[in-house]
This record gives sequence, C-alpha cells and structure tokens, in this order.
Amino acid sequence: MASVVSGVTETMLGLTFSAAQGGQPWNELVWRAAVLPIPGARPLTVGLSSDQPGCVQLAAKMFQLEPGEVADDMLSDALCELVNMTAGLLKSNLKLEQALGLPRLVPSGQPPVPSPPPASNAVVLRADKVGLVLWVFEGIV
Amino acid sequence: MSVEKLASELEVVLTKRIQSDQLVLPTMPAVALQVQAILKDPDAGMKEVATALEKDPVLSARALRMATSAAFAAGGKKATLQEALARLGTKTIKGLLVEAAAQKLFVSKNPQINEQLKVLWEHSVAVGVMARDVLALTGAPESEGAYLAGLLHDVGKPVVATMLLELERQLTEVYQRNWIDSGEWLEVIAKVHRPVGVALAERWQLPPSIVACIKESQEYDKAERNSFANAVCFSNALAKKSGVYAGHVDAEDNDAIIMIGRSVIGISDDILRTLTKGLRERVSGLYD
Amino acid sequence: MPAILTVDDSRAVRTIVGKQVRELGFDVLEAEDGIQGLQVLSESSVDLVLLDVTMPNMDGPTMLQKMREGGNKTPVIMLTSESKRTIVAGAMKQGINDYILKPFKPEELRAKVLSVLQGEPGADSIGSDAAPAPTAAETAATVAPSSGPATTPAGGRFCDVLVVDDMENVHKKLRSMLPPHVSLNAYTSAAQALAACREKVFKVVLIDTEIPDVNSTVLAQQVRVLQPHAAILALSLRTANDAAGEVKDQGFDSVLFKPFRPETIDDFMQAYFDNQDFLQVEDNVLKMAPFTGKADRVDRFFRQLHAVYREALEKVAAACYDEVVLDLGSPPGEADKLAKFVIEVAERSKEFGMTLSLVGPEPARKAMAGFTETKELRFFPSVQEARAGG
Repeated sequence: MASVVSGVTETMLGLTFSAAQGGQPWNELVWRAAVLPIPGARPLTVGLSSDQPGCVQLAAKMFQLEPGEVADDMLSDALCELVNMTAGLLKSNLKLEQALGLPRLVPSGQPPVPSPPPASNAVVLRADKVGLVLWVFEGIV
Repeated sequence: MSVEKLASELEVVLTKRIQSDQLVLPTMPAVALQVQAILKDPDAGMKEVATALEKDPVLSARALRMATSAAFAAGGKKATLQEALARLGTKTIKGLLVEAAAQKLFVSKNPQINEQLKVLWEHSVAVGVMARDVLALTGAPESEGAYLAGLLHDVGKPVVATMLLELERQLTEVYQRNWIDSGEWLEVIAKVHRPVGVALAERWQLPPSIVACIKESQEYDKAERNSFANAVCFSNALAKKSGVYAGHVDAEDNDAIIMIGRSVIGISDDILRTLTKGLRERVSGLYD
Repeated sequence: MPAILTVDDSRAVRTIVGKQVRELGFDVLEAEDGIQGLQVLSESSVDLVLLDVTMPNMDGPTMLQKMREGGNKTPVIMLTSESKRTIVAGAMKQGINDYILKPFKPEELRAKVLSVLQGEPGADSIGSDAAPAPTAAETAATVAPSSGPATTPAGGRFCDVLVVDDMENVHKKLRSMLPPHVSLNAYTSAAQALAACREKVFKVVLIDTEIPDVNSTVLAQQVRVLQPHAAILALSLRTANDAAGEVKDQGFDSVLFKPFRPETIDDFMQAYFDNQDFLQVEDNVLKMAPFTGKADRVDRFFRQLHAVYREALEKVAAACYDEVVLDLGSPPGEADKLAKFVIEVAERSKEFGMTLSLVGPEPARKAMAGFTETKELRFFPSVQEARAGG
C-alpha cells in the first residue's frame, strides 16, 4: 500500500511513504478525506485522508507553494488528485479492467471515514511529517 | 495452413504440454548446473567453482575474458581462472552461466534457421545492453541485472523454432506437405514464444524479475517505473525501431511503446539518441 | 505571448500545469473537458494543447479527432494516466507530438513543452544513423509514422532580420546600414513581434534590451520557442560592463551594440549572413551582393564570388541565353581584384557560348576601362539598359 501511494508522491511531491510503526491509530488523520469508487466486476473504494497540517503539506508540495499560500480549495484538490492517481496505480497493480470513478470529498459534518470493516485494508502511512490514511474497501461506499 | 491457424494450434499444444509438465525443455548444460549447485553451497569456495568450470573450455574462456575486461581488470596482470572468478563474484558468474546456456539455444544445424537465430540473438543482446544502460542512466540500482533480463526476454523463441523444425520434418517427410516461408515462420514464433520462455525460465530457476520480462514485454508497469520489465519493454521497442530485429514490426504500435516509455522511465531524447547510436554495429559479430 | 491550453477535468492538474507553464513565460488557457477545449480553440490563438485522455462529456481522443477533422493542427501533448499502447498509438495517428504519464515531474512537463514548441524531432530520429542496407523488416521498423503536425511558423514566408525596438529611428538606421538584399521587418512592440514570429521564419531576431513594460529576457524565450532556428541577439547600448557576457546569461546568442557602426554591421553580416547568395541569378542576370565590409574583407568577398560564379553561369547557360549580364552592384574599390573576377567570368561565359555585359556604377566602369581584358566589354548603367542593349 505504501509503495502504491509513494508511486504517486515520489514523482510529484518528492515524498516517500512507509507504513507507520506500532499500529498508529488512524482516526487522528481524518481531518479531510477523499474517496474514489471503482465500480465494475470487482467494485472497490479507495480512500485517502490526512490531518490539517498533512493536507497543507501535500497541497503546498503539489502546487509548489509556501504552506501559507495554500487556499482551502487547494487542500481538497490536492487530496482528490492524490486519491485519483493512487487509485489509478492500484487498478494497474491489480490488473483491473474497470474504469475509475470521479474522486469526491467526504461531505463535512459526516463521519470522515467509515469505520473500516474487518475485511478492509486500511493502513497509516508516514513520510517526513505528513501522515496519511489509505484504505481500500471491497464494494462501493 | 495459415499463420494464424498454425500459431493458435501450436499455442494449444504448448499450453497443454506446459500445464501437464510434458513440455520438453532444454536443460542447462551439465557444467553450468554443477557450478550453480556449488555456488549455492555456503562451504564451497572459488577453487571448487573453478575446478567445475574448467571442464567447459568455452565457459572458462568467457569468464577469463570478462574478468580481464576494462570493467573488472585491476592492474592488467593475467589472472588464473580462480582469480578471475573471484573478481567477477557470485552474481556475475551466475549471469555468465545463464547467458552461455541461453546462447546455446540460439544455434541450429539448419543453416537457414541458424541465420534467423543469429539475428534473434543479436536483437536479444541489443535489448540487454540497452535495458542495462536505460536503468543505469535513470540511476536505478541493480541495473546490471537488466542485461540478463533483456538478453532472455525472447528465450522462448529458439525453443519454439526447434519445435517448428521438428514439425516441419514430420510434415514434409510423412505427409509430403509444403512448409511455411521464413517470414511466416518468424510470425508463428512471435505469437507463441512467451509461455514457452516463461516455462524455460522457471525450469532454469531464474529470478521472478526476469520471468516477468519474458511474460510481458508489451505494456508498462506504472507502479514500478524503473522495473526490469519496463526497461526491457522500452529497449525491445528501441531495438526494433533501430532495425535490430528479425520479424514483422508494427511501426505505429512500436512508436507508441517508445513514446510511452520515454515518460514512464524518464528518458530524454538526447539520451535516447545516445543509447541507439550505432546499435547495429555494436551487436553485430557477437554471435560466435 | 505564446498561449498553452490545458484540458483536464482535474482542477489540481490544471493548477500545476498552469503554474509551470506561466513560469516559462506563456499564457495559460484552461478547459475542463473536450467540449470546452474545442470552444477555447475556436475563440483563441493557441500554440500548444496539453490534453488529458479520460474526461467527462468529451474525452481527449475525441477532442483531438475533432480538432484534426476541423483542420486544426495545433501541437498536442497528451498528459494522462493512461498508458495503454493502443490508445496512445491511436492518438499518435491523430498527430500528438508527445506524451507525459501522470503522475509527472514538473521538469518533464517544462522540458516537453519547450521541446514541442521548438519543433524538436523527439524520438523520431532514432535509428536514423547510417546502417547497412535494411531488410524488409528493418524498413518497416525505421519508417517514422509519428511525425506530428508541423510546428514551423505557418506561411513559409522567410525574412532575414526581425528587429524589436520601441524607437522607430533604430529601425530606419539599421535598414540604411544593412545591404539592400537583406530583408528586414521592424516592430515597436513585443506583441507585434510575436505575431510576426507566428507568421514568418526569421534568420536573426534583434531585441532591444530596454523596451518599456517588456522583459526582454522573457520575450527572447518566447521568440526562441516560435523561431527555434533563429539567432536571437540583444540590441544594447555599448557600456563599460561586459554586456556580451550579460546578455548570454539572459539567454541571448549575442549582442549588437547601438549606436550602429559600419564595422559592427560588417561583423554582424559576416557572422549571420556569410552564406547569403554572393551572386544571385535572375533570368540571365548575375547580381553581385553589395560589398559592405571593411578593407580587410575584400579578399574574402572575392573568394566567395570565385567559388560560386561557375554554378551561376551554368544556370544561365542551361536556360539557353546568348547574353549574360553581370551586375557589379556596389563592388569594393580594389579595381585589380574586380577585373580579375570579371575576366574569369567573361572567359567562362565564352566557353558556354555566351557574351558578357556588365552593369555597375560609374567608378566601376572607369575601373574596367583601365584593363585590356575588360575594356572591350559592354558596360551599362542599369540592368534594364543592358537587357535593351543586348
């Protein structure tokens, strides 16, 4: 999972993620989340979230701005683009012949991330000071 | 029989034989197998390796030549076989054994087929050399391994060629039927060689990264941009574009593979031109 | 200013692309899908399209197809996470110029944008080095089908010099000092100059380093994109500083100092127009280029003439003329060297069965009258009179 995200972030952001050690709780990293459905024969949902400093770092690196210059819509754009590209690589890895859906933000006021069912794959990833949660659900959330 | 029909029938036969483990595949030469076994033995030293390798003068000569080449030479002193092997190291010796074993497959008693196999071998060397250089230029570690991956990406072709030759002998002797021409012959081989190559690589216990190159060298792996498979896919298309290939080339398809590969691997056009410059001259005459 | 259109449904990608492209000094236009993209193309002048594949409403391949069907040959770089070779091969048939796989490094984007706008051959030149006679398979492999639409400025109209300077007097002065056969287009604003760069092909572009409200370095970069083969020179006041070194650091090829002096114009001519036709052929008239240089260039001038006159005479002879006219133009003052050249041309003309007449100013007539071998040649003050007289 870490290598899939890093496949995107190393190229675009210069960040390499690895799985956080010691079972770090994921619910601290859900300030904002974006999900992308992959409907089809093997439906999947890929989600990505981070805390506020993490979202700012990601957006600043993606748009090559100072963290203070990042606007709120850029935080969302960066997260959506990241989940889009991550899902693309995941699809390629799993050799899925299914079209990607459009990324969308989890609406504010709702639980940011549905609790991962036991069968789902959720992993906390870290690169420098940026923490991310990446999760993949079987089915469309 | 049309090329398509012959290829699809051959594919069915081959798949069945591979699945039932009944496909007769060439084995590694006995000396190479013996050396490989010694290399796996933690208690064995280079002396034992040298003793085993000496039984094959061609392999010994190759090892000596490689050890005294610019990359490995240290002072120009003439080395003994044992010293040469120590200089090369275990990994390089293993590669040398596989390369020598593979090259033996690209030899046929039939002069016409031998000529085609020669071109196939030169193509394989070109792909190996470029795959290594492509990865080295992008700063990828382990670029040396890409040479062997490129060299072996078409290793199923000579095996299928031998099978076709046998089939031809049966058809012409038993049924008095005409055989296909060399162009069609290459087309049939191109359509069915991959599963045979994979089976051979597994039989020879080659690493999975090399098996992946044989299995799939037509699409890129986006997740691992500097993989051996990507370098081989790209180099294969470059060799074809440079004319170092025997067989039909779909030029539009090949150009697309190159265009995608430039971005996937991250190679500039200047480097590309350097990679392919004089490629034909570099690989011709390597078939001895 | 060259404009680039980014067509992508991802606002993040459009933002990233926009930032990179603006830093290169280009204008950026945006579209969210193929429909919007076509709309922008119909309304604005665009030099390059960066096109995604998968988009809602109209995808990239469809937009590309509609562009080409409509005769729009704007260069296109496909910028996509799609890596299927069948899709890329299909787009190549429609004439895409390059391809970038997402996620991409900003430097790859910048390099490919500049490369495509400068009309570089990309991977097409692979396999073009000399090789033994190809087999049928090789022929198939080395045929490059992927040449995209031409990126050379349209129209095929060639002009020698483009000068951009807000002072019209500079244009006039330069025009008066350049030889008449050197064509010159002059503009006072960057916008006019860039428009001309889209229409014509220039050999040398001169850019004033002090145009009001224009960063001449950025303008030079934009001109270089549109005129990849032109030499781009800064027009600068002569200062005590190392102006030549400074302008090279800013991306200019060299500098031409103001105010213009005959010797600097002479150096300029030698550096950039040395291969100009020293002897132009029009019907049966051989027109010598005017000599504009210093005395130490006279020998070089005649060496060039001696090297090219035979071929020029052959052209006239091949057109079955009995008469050939040599227009001396404004020759150097060294009469002996001019006479030597004229004698050679006369002798060679005779070998072709043609008689030689001369055209030139009065001093040249007097000079030719002073030599036995040339005094008998017919001499006219103008080409029209020579033709009438012949």
